[in-house]
Amino acid sequence: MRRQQASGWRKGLAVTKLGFKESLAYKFHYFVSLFGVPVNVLIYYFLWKAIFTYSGQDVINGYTLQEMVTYYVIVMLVGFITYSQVDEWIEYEVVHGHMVNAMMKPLSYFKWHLYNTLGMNSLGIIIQIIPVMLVGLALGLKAPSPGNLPLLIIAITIAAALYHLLTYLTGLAAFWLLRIRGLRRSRRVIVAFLSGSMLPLTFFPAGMQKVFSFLPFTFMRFTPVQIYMGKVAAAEAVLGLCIGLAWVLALYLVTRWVWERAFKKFSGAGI
Amino acid sequence: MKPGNIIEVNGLKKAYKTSKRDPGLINAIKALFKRQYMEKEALKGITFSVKKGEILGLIGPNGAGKSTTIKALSGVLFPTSGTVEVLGYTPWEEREDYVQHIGVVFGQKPQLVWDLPAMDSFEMHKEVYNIPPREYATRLKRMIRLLSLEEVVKKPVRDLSLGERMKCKLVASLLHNPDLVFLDEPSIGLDVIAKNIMRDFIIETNKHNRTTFIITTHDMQEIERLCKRVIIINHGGIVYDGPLHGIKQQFQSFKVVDVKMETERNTFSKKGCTVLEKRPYELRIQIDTKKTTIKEVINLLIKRYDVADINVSDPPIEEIIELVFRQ
Amino acid sequence: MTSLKRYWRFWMKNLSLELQTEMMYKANLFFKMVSFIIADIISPLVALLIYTTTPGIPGWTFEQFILFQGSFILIFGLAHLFFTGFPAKVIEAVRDGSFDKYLVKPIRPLVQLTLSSWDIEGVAEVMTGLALVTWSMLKVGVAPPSLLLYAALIALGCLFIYSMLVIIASMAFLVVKSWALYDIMFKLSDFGRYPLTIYEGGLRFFLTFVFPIGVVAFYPADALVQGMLANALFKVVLPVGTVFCAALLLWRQAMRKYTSAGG
Repeated sequence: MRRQQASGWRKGLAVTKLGFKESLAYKFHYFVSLFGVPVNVLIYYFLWKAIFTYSGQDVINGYTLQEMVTYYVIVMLVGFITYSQVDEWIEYEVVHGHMVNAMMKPLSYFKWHLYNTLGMNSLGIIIQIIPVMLVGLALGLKAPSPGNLPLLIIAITIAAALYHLLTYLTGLAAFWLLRIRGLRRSRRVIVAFLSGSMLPLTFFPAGMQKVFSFLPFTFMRFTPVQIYMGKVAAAEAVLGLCIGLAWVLALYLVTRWVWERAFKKFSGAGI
Repeated sequence: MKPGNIIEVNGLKKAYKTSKRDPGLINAIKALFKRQYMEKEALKGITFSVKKGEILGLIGPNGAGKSTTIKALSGVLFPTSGTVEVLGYTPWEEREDYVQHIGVVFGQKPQLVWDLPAMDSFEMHKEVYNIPPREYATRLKRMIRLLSLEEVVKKPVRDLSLGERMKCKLVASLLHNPDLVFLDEPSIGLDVIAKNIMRDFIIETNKHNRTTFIITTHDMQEIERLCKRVIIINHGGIVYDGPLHGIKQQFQSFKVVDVKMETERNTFSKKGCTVLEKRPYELRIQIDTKKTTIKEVINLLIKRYDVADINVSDPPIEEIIELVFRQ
Repeated sequence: MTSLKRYWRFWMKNLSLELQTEMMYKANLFFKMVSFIIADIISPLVALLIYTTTPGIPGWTFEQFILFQGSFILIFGLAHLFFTGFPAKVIEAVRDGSFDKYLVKPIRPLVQLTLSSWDIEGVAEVMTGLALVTWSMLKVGVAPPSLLLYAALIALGCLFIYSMLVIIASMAFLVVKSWALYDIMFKLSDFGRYPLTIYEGGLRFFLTFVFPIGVVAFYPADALVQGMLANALFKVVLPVGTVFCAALLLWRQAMRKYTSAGG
């Protein structure tokens, strides 16, 4: 029993390494995508600077201009760390008839893509994290208080798990729809909006905020950023993370349920 | 232009300037500041002409200058020096008018709309080449019948076999009834049946419309069946221009002798002879006719061995061509 | 004239091919349309949230700002519908060495490429843009004659984007990995989602004169709000025309390089 467990981890590590090596082929991609970081930060910086100046207030909705900029930088950082494009891979495999290869892997389809994503993301994180921090520091980014660090790490892990699971679910739709570029884009935009990537969730009407605190999107971006910025009390944060964790479990179960059907579809139709 | 000629090429020369660098990141950065250029002569001044209605085979190893020649003739590339006149045009100078009169099939590259039936690509061709509807309909009908593509043209191109796809590409290239058609490796990856159908179709089209074909291929059988004349290009120059059987006379100084014997012998040595294959009761010997004669070898064989059967033949055309390439 | 008619028919034929191709994956087409509508509806929603919680962006009322965003979405939607896809085709053809297929056809390569780059999902963006523009115009109140001038400014915006794309497509022949420029251009165009007046100093100069994406939607909307359409048109025509000519020249240069180097 024990030995099997160990070999499973070793397999996982091997796939992660493979994913990392694969991602090296796209290193130029990552460098180019870095270009977007200053663009986004600059847009939000100037937008909010104009709004703050116009309003004559120093604090809007609990944020100073400095904090606003910090917010967007950290959102971007969390975005890079939790990135997953597994839906694109699944679509590619289904459309190009590579599913058979994927099924031959010595790991479950889910695990294989999970480890692969981990590996592929490592390079992105390595390349992107420093420039984002530099841009952030130039604009007066504050470091998180060390006391929040454990919570932050848990929050980011939950964010990554949720984001990956949702992306994986989107990808499974390819078994029925084949091409899912549109669906992928819908998923991306909705997540960006509802997770607070475009605007802190505190800017939404109070009723909606209440609803959001129970939706999974909140935990993909907003919660980690709030914890980083020390804007939530520890008890509240822990409660939030529990809800996030419940979502991870729920989405995982949904994923399994959908996968069973996708697999039947695959073995029946032989995609 | 001489009457009857459709193509006249005179002293066609093409030199490329390519930047070269060694692999690796450091060299890539170095290359940013200091580029090293290499001059490469792809064509060293070739001269030839083609008559209307000919089927010409253009052969040569990869990188010999075949595709550069085709590109210059189809107007895609302009040469360093020399003149080309095709159908009264200088291809690269009046390209848009000129290409109206030619057809091109790239064997290895997609030319049809991938997700839709080939029929839709044909319809598109009709607009691009401004083909009168009636002409279009009769030509298409005829070609579909000749190649038995009735069902094939209704299926999305992505679902077609390699052979079916190639047939459709061939149809597309002929829809505007061009005077001249370039076929770049048309039979690559096809099975024998598909090759034969394509071959018959090309010959039929050539007879029916007096269409001139220029074909590049590595398939000698195809050349042998289609082309009365071949041009062999190597190292940027023409090394042979003439009928296919002429190659044999000009380059072939070999004969192959197959001997069957009653007793088991498997050695044979003589000046000018090499044993190609040996089995217990059989030998295959290659004879260099410059160094010895067939008569001498046969005499020696009969004298020394218990000969049951003897057969003298020419080596296959592939081997001769290979020899020409190596020179 | 005859060639214009031929181009038109070629364009329409391409539209029918695009429609047929998209129809093969109906669910994907549906979601693509929906996703574009969602994506484009979200930016006005963000604007709404900003305007309800703050005094808003200086110099623009909410309706005016929606007019601005609508103009931006409309311009990029039109570009998307008609031609945004063509540099990608060039980049791909150059990479796999199949660009010759455009050269052996009797229509100029740039015309061929441009007229065969329909992308039907752009319809969703155009509709969203038009809806936003119409709503805000009704709120702001616009005299009918100025609509024509506004349309002209929108068209010039499209021409500017087209010129940028021609430049990117030309670069495919001159540098490797030119798709990076494509990505960068679209990233930079995000600056244009907010009015030029919020940017300061060097960035504003950059967005006005170096990479004038800032003025693409700004001029039509601003001029409409200020009632200075003719003035704006006068200011924009010459620069856009110059960029367009420069782009065409660059393309010609790239074609010349390609036909002399032979891929």
